Amino acid sequence: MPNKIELNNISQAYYIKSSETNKKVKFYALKDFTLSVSDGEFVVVVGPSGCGKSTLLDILSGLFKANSGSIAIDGQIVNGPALDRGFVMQSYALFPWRTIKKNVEFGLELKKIPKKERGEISASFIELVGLHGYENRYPYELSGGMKQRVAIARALAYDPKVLLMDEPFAAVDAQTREKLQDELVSIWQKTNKTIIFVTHSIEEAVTLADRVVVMTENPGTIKEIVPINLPRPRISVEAGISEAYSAFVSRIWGLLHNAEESFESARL
Amino acid sequence: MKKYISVIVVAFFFLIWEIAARLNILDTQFIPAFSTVIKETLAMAASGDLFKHIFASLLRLFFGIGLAVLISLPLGFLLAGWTPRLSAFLNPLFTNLSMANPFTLIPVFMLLLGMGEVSKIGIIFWVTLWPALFSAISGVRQIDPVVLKAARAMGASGVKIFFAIILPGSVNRIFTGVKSSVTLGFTVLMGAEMIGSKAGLGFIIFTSNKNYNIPKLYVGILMIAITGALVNLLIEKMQKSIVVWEENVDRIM
Repeated sequence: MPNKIELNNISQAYYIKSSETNKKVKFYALKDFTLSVSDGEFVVVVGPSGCGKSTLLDILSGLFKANSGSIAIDGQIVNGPALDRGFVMQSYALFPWRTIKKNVEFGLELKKIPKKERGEISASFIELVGLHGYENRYPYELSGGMKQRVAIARALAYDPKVLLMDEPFAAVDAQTREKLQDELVSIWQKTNKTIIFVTHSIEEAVTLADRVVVMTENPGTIKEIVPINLPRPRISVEAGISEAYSAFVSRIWGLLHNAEESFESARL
Repeated sequence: MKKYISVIVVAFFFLIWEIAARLNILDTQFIPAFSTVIKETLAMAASGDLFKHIFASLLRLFFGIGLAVLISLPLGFLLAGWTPRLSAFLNPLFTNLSMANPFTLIPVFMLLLGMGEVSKIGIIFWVTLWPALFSAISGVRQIDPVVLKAARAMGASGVKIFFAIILPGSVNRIFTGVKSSVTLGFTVLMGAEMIGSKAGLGFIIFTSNKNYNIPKLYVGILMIAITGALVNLLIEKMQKSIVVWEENVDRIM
């Protein structure tokens, strides 16, 4: 089976002012980042803050062009934003002046889908994220968790092949977060999307991912790719947290901390 | 509840005015009793004069403010959305122009545009242009960039982004600016109608003052206040019926 997404030698650097020398220094958000994602795969990227995880998604979305390297989805080179990718952000980014229904239909309007069909599609995705009955509410009337459900429905409604998620559950409380993780896994299993999910939470990565990409900071490169070959659901009330699960968590924890230590020593 | 309180406060003010005049605490030669002013108002209303004046003023305001909004909105969107750097350069100039006292500009407008309607509408236009323009610029600027990012990530076109994001995202701020414009328009009306007019609320004030018709002078003052408040109320109603997606602050307090 061909790969869904091919990231080839992506590099993106910024010039930032060093606090010690006050000189401009080159900061590599991403350096020679190469990754293949197969169809229907759930890939989670973890790394210290500022390691270029979000930059990676911005480039994947087509909003920014990397300094060098290329991205291909289904063999097609990515040249800009398009409806073959859905983007879910940490701060929901709902349109405050649109009802929930109209928010979910935004991408469908761009696709020029007739009104009646739009209504049917949005209804089914609002149902999918469990917000039936909230169609005509405005975002300000919803809690954080509900807003993120709307954002997910909005990103799924126009049927993208790939879902890009930038720390989508970082702003909600722990309980809601677990619930949303469960829901996301079941939506993923139902819709068979390819997901690239960025987080700084190791537990979240182990709970969700087929493969966890562990990143280093400056330069933003791949430290290691850890396949999580655990049956789903990985956390349940009955079974609790398995030893295998904890082993993955501590292994990734170790990788991340090693990464930070080596970075510290490189700076000294 | 809040509505009733404000009605009671206004009624109380008129009552105190009336009592003070009756008890000769006020010099009724300069400040006639409220009832005298009302009597004069009713007489002017009966003859149809009052409505002629109100209509003349409203027409001037309509053209002046309408033109100001028509020009300032596209200009504001253009400056804030497409040429932010130019906007930053022009901002100090705009601020200075907007600070020029409108009453000192009236002679200039008379010189340039003559004594007719054009200069009157012109001065109203000039004064009301700035709040509308500033509100359009700041309205665009305060749109959450994350929302724009979401629309762009879906590949929305510039036209779609304008109508689906920029316009609804700034409309509340623009309404607030237009309300300031209307208030300023009514303020400058009196000066604009001082010279060379045959009708208008400012004209009433100016001529009554010249002819020493004090009750009529107060009719002019009262009518400017009332019409201004009503027009503002109308715009506020429009704002509330359009901007339905924001939490109503009144409801919380």
